[in-house]
Amino acid sequence: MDQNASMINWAVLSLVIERPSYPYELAQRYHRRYGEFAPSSTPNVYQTLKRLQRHGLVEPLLGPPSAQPSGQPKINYRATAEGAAELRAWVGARIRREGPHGDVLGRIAAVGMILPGAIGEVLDRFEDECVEEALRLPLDPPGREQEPRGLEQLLELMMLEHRRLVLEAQLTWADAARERLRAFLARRGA
Amino acid sequence: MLRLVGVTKRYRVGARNVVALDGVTLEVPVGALVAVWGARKSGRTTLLRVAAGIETPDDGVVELDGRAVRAGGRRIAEGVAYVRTPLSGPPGQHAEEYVARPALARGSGAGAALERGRSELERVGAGAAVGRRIADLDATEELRVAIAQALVGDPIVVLIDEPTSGVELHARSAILRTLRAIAAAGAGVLMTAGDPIELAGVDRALTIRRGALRSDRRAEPAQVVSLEHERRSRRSA
Repeated sequence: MDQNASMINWAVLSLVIERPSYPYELAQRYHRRYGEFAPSSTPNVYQTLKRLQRHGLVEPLLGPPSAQPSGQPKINYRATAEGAAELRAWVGARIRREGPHGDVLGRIAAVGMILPGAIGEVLDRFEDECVEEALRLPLDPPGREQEPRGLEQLLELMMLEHRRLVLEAQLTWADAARERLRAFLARRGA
Repeated sequence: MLRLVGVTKRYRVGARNVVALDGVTLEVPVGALVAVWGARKSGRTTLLRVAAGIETPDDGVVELDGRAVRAGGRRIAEGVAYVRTPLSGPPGQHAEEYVARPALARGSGAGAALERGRSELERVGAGAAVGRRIADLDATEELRVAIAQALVGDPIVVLIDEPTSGVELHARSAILRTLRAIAAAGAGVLMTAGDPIELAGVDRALTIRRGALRSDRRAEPAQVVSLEHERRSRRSA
């Protein structure tokens, strides 16, 4: 699967890697974990599961016959080895290329339960990408070193400052998240 | 050029040993503006203090133009300027007198020292502070006065801790342009950064965490298209 595939693909794949699930159960787990920042509908989760199956990243397992009147067995999905490898590769891929917000939260939610050690890796990469963007941003809008005179100049300045203040918040968050992770791992190790 | 090689600094905090700097190696060539990005307690300020010669490293070497920086008596080493605010002088002292202090200490005559003080204030965009008491200056003016004083010593390297901290949003880019100009005029500038604007326009950004340098990036200015340019190209498309 393309590393640029939308967040829901990686989210569903990671949930299946954590624990093989029936589609309905999977959708419930999706809503619990991602409902806040990557909301989606139950049919969309089902469609994603089918898509992952077409790509050979998950596979169906026949479970025991269901209690439903039809008596048809419920289909339990589990990840393939290829699915697990794809998810691992995605964790190490660039985070912020999809715009200023990137998908750092999605990545942490997707891998945290499977590879807790990778959370620190995701945070480091996120911080590096924020620093890189801060380094690339100009000090002032190009050719505008004076206080803005026209409305257009004012808008350019406001946009630049917005990008910069968002970066500041993201870097502050990355640092706080790392502290949380460190304290958590220390408690767990103790 | 300022050069740190394998610099380690440890502190004793209660019963614990804290490693404030852990094998830091970096160079600040003349004409370069280098920023060290780090959170609070990352070791970023200790790095400046060791570079200034105020703190002695437990291991490693600090050199300025090939000579070891001798740390002694908590004094700043020769050739190094460490920009510090708030200003520490009699509140009634005028800005140009404050700026002139290093020249007077070197034995310049009072008139020449004051003249130098005035010209450095002009150079850093603080001409308006001439003739005013340091107690009457706002935070941005104080910072400019501190930078001007640093320049009076003709330093090889200028050290500055979070230059835009405490500076109003609208004045931050001007402060950073001043630092850029100081580097362009031939000094090396090493600063700590805790605000993304402080990374704009630097030649190199390092990140520090738990006393160790973690990543090192050099600036490649982004293609930033102004609204005007974009509109023009859309029209011509």
